[in-house]
Amino acid sequence: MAEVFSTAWLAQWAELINSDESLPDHAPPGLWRIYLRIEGDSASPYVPQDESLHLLLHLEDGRCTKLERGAGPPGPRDLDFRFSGPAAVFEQVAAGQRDPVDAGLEGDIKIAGDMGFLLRHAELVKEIVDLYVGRLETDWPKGKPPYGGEAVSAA
Amino acid sequence: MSGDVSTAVRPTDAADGEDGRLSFDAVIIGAGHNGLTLGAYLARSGLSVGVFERRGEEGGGLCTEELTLPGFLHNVHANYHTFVGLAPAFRHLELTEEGLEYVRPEVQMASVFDDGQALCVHTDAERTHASIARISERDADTFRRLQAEARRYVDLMLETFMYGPPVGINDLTKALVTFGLDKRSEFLEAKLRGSTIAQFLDRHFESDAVKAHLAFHAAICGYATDAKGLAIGFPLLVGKIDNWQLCLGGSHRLAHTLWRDLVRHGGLVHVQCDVARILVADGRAVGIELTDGREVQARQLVASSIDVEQTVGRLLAEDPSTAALRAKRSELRHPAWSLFSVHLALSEAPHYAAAAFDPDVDRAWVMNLGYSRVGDLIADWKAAREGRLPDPHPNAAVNSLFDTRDAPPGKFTGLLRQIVPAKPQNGSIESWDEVKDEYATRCIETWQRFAPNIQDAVIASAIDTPADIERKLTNMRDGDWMVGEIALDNLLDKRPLPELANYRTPVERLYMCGSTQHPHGFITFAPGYNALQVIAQDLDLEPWWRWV
Repeated sequence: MAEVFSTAWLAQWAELINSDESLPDHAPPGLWRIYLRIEGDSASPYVPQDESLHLLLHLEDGRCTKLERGAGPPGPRDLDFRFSGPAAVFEQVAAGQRDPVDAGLEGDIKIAGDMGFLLRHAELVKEIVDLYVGRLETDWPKGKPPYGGEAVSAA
Repeated sequence: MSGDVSTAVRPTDAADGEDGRLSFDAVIIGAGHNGLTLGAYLARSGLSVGVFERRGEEGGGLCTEELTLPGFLHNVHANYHTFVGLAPAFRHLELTEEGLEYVRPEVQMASVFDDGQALCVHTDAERTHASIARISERDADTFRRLQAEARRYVDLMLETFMYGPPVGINDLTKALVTFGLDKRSEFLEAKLRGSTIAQFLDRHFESDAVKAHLAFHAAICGYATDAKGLAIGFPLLVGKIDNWQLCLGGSHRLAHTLWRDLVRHGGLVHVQCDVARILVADGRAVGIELTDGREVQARQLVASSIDVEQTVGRLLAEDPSTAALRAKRSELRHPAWSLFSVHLALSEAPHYAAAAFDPDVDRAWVMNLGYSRVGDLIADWKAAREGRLPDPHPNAAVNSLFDTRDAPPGKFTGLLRQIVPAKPQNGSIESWDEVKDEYATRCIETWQRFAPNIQDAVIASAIDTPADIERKLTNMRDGDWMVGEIALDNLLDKRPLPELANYRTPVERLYMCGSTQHPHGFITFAPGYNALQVIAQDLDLEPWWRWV
């Protein structure tokens, strides 16, 4: 068990991605750089309000070659996709309490980048998201979401 | 607007290149809003930009003129702006900070029906619900759910379907299934790609009047009620159904604001400069030649915001690399229908008989005059496609209710707009000149039927037929105001032809950036913005507009 967003937690996620044998079958060739901007809000105890976590995920030929916390946001040339939203939403998704597709559709997690690519590789995207949801063994030492609010069950 | 040409730059004012030719990094053909948008972004990226426009002013369809009498400002073409605040250009180009002003009328739209009832769409969703509930409580609840759902994902849909390279319909429907949209959405489902808007409405709504109003709303957006597949875009339309905005001072203000932004960043707009051909050397676009014989050098790119027929057929007539495209010109799709407009100077605002049912109709902006059933709209589409003049059910708008600057004190401007055949009786488009006066009278009579005081309120009128549209804006062949039919097989990655769908052309560094391209016409800024993404990739430009 590792604390959400910790180095060990990210390593666990990377390992899950790389242990999925079907991912390379769905992945396009080449390097795809994904940036998760997890924005501190008043609810999450893991990301201070007015601060953000910058997670960088690199997928190369369907394999995770980088998954780490960055010091700041990457430049626009250094990423292909950005997912951003309140920390509490990302945490609810990680805890299996919030459906990630709903979070994206409803705009709680903003998605930017080549949307056509996301649609063309919907199966890949879904597999990676599914790994994030529920399968990551997460420790919640400062409390588990939802933080006083109602959780929206993941599908 | 007319008389505003002094704001644009004539070619003699521009600095010449070293060899005596005008020279720019980027040469853009056509100063409609897409050409100006692309130019403004490129100028902000540090490129020198020259935009060349055949007409005497910038703006293309964003033209505002005193068509009837002095002091009455009429939006000749684009009147309804529905992407205000949604299009990235508003944010990136700081358009509202440039003094551009919009008003979003509280009563956005209304239908008045033959039985004296009425229905209003308000900016306040609860008031819309109350209005629909007077006709059908069930439909009011359904509409509330539809609007709430569409609003939740409108940003994502805009990003996916409008402000990015086009996606394929097969990829789209596959993704809808993969992400389980059918299960999580009441309204958005993969089978919509095989449905008409009429079928979507029949599936979800019960009242003829409510369905007619929603079909009317889609029709003004260019979406035919009976065209198979267009239902898939309907939720997106509903997501912005309450974002109809009026550009204060006339639609041309938007064009002028774009022009000002371009000029502030070093760009130039050259009016009354018709382009004769695109210069190509070694397979690469290197400039343009004007009809007066002068050449303009393009050091990095040429972008055409005009239609494919002119770009490929006329401007590249001698270029061998586009011969295959020229042969495919006949495959370019234009609708058989267009718009017939009657612009009016009025001594008073309309007072609708249906105000007795709902007083808010007198405060509404976009009016549906009499479409009471979806079948009424389908009949009009059918008539238009067959070259017959439909019994008028025009939409009406009185901009002066919200912008007192567009008419003298105490007076009003009015606009009536009707779906019509591009070529009446399937004759030539010029045959409109023979029937327009009588048809305009019929349109005004329809308005009088619903607003009796209009009979004595008309001071002057001016007519704009599909033929007039084509004469003024040659880009809009056969009065095709969307510059390419809105049909599922002529949208997304099929528009305007698969070979041109990604904004590039067979000629290196020649791009298409106008309404021929995905997504379509209307004041979306999207073709220009999307072409920018491709150009930025090819020229290795710093994408300062991304991720902000």
